[in-house]
Amino acid sequence: MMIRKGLQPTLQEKERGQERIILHLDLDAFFAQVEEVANPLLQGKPIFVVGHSMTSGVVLTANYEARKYGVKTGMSLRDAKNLCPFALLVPADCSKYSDTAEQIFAYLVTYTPLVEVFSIDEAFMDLTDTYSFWGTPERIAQRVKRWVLESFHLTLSIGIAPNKLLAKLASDRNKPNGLFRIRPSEVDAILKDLPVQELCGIGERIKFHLNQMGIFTAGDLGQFSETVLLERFGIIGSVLKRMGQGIDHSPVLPADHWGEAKSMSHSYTLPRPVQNRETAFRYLLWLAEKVGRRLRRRHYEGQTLHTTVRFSDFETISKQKNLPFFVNDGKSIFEHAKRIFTGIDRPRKPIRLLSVGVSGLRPAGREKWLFEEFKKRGRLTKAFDSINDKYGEFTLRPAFLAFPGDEKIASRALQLFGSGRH
Amino acid sequence: MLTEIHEPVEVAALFRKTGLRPVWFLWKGRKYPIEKITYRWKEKTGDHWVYSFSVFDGANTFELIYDSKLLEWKLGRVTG
Repeated sequence: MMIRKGLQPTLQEKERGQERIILHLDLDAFFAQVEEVANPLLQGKPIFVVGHSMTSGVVLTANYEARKYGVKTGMSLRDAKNLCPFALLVPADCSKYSDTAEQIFAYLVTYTPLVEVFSIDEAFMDLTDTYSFWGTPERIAQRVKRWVLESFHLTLSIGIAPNKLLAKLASDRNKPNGLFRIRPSEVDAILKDLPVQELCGIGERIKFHLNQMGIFTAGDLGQFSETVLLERFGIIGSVLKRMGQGIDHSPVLPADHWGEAKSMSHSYTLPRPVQNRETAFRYLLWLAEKVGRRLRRRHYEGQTLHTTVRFSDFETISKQKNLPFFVNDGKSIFEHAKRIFTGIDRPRKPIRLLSVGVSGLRPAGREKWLFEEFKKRGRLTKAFDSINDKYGEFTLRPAFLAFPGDEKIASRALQLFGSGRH
Repeated sequence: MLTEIHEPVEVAALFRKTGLRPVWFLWKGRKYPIEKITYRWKEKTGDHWVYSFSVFDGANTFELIYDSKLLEWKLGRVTG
């Protein structure tokens, strides 16, 4: 069969993968929307969903009423209140959001096994091989929107495109409650004048460097010299160039295709900046226990410890340390995280965020301990786990975590805990 | 205004195949009929589920929490 030259896909169109049908689903102002549905008294009023301190920190989500005043997700509560002083503050309730999200993501598997959860309120679906059972990708998008609305009274925006990068861009086009499709033939026109920071993955720092190079739109980026981008950004220079051209070959990966984990970490923005180092150690221990629990649940142990501290002036310091052995219990992780913390601490500065992570992972249980102390610790951790499995996280926990607010008892507990006794 | 309560309450509820449905509850000697369940969610705690309901009595929104192991109801918070 002869194909007219003008209708043949260009190399770039082929690279964009026009054969694929990818959906990106984004629940509109998710946390705020859930709170509005749960509480009819909030409906129609501007609201900020915030952390439990309710007085400081950042806006986790603002509803569309509040966004009209320029409030954005991630904005400091102080700035948000200046823009919209009469907004109502609602403390976040993560169990409410994660249960809802889990049910929605489980429903998506009705249409394809290739569902990738991107965050608590976003997911990708690869419908390339399955959409024809339901007619068109748009029909599936409408069915999903209807089901979510009927089941939870929530709206979401959906983008349809030949790849994940463009699908995410498409879902942003018509918010809230939008549905937008980018077809391969429309990509160049859409990218030509698109501000470069609207491409998923280009944050403030990269945008700053790109702007310095005279790159302001995705179109500029796509046409820029790859050699110069490589010189400036290293290996990601090529990725940036392809992003500017709307090319993204990354597959939609369901959780069971993620393969082996490389690292596990937990970070926490403190409800208010903390000056007291013992209080900071308590948060550090809590994070270490969470990381340890997660490692053990997935049968991993790791050899490299990471600790990050962000101070109230936003100075952020991270450091890692390789250990001569593998760990996955909270106590060992805490001991090393605390040592790293002490090395990078600025004692006069209040702390805003802490993070603990473990990398260099391998399947747990390869080593058999020779010394009784380590064997004991392993048995104790197992006992902790079995009790917490039955009665809930942190039902049984180190004494240092048992007395929030009581510095004296916590201090004593730290001495005991620090000296190797539970 | 939101007020954290976290007190045990007595709840009349229907246990049906379609799910659990609180009908009214007693708090501080007063009976609150539930006009509407506005949201429901669950959370795994240890080896059992805890079910939560946002309910509206026509004036205020309440959060009722049912622990399926302890067979206990609690009033979590009130927004009025």
